[in-house]
Amino acid sequence: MTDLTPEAAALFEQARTKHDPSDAECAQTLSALHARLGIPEALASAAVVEMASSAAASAPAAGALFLSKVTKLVLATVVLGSAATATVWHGATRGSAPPAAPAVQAATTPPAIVSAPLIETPPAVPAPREIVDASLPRARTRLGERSRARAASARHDAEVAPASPAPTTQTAATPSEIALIRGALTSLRQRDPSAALRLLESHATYYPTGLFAKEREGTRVLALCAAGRSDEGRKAKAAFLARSGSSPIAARVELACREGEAR
Amino acid sequence: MFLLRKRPTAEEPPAPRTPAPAEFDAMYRTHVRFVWRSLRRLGVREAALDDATQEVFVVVHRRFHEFRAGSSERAWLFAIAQRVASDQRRWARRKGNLVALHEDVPGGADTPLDTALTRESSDLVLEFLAQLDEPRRVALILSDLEEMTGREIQEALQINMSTVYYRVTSARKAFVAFLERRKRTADREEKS
Repeated sequence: MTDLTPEAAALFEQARTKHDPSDAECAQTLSALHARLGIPEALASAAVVEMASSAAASAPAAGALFLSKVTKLVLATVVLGSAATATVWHGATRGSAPPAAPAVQAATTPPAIVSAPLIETPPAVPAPREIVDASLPRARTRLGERSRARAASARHDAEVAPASPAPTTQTAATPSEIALIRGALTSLRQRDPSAALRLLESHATYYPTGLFAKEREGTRVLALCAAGRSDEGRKAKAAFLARSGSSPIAARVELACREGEAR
Repeated sequence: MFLLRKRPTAEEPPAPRTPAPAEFDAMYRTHVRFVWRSLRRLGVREAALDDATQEVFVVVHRRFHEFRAGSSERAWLFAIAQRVASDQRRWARRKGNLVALHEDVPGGADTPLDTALTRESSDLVLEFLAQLDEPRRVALILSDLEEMTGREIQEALQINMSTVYYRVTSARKAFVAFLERRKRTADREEKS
């Protein structure tokens, strides 16, 4: 049987949008492309406005900082007077009647592309699911239904809140594991080592030999030391370094609970 | 005089034309995410992704006339992305600074632990893809990460269906084995 294991399928599921650019990166790259290709600035700013405004509508809090630069740039352009063109062009790209100015371009534009939706959509290949199902063994999860929602909410998986309940499908295990570790790190950064320790304990309960067991132990050392439980911290640290001293996180762990340590 | 006049024939290739800005932007908006993440999975470094994405769309702009109506835009774009990624890898090797897929360090005030964790959690798939041979890597990207149809994969890779099937199943097996190996290593470290 060549099907993926639930764990492997979960990792693929998670990876599907993980490598997507942010909306701000899309807008910046388009802006640079316009400059390279000599596409007029008025049109360029219209396109950036569109991407940035869709970004503003859908961007999660974490993306807001990154986005602000582009938004400022775009707002400046709009204020400088291209707002009208922006709006007109915005309409044109959505498939409504082209305005007078770009009439020549519109005449050569195939309607299928002009009216293309603003988010990624599956291409017009006849009966795609059937072809796949007949030709390739599918991953065990039903992935097709989710693709549309996924495209619209790129990168949401990176923002999984530690407390959010795991989905009840069999592929839930790995994302949840990651969420626990990431949540523990976030708590640690927010100077809440007790919360970090609780999350790490949950991780140890649910995933004693999980993919990130080593990371859990390393983070636990940091959390114990941050909580002032130095004796326990030093013990955990010695155990961790003895087992995983060569791991990339060992250097950070080594610095924890240094005060009061016998030299 | 009449005989000298050039008559257009059906066989004559259409004159190359560049796309209208709206047409180009629509194509960009529809596919930029697909192109970007494909480049990443094909081994382009995080820091070079915007340049590589630009490169793909510059080629799109230049060769827009070569795109055949009715065929898959994504298959066409992926083929371009493959060439761009391959050029980048060659360039990086020549420069002697080829960085493995998982070696990018995210910016910001992350601690080394955060960096290690982010790498561990987010790039298992990239790590695996980096060590896989190119034919199986692209087949797996298109089928399991992009959920492309068998026909689209055929079109993008110009191979027959049984080869698509073989590469995908073989790559999946390799991924499962990769995860197993990783677990065994972790267990060994745990015990020792």
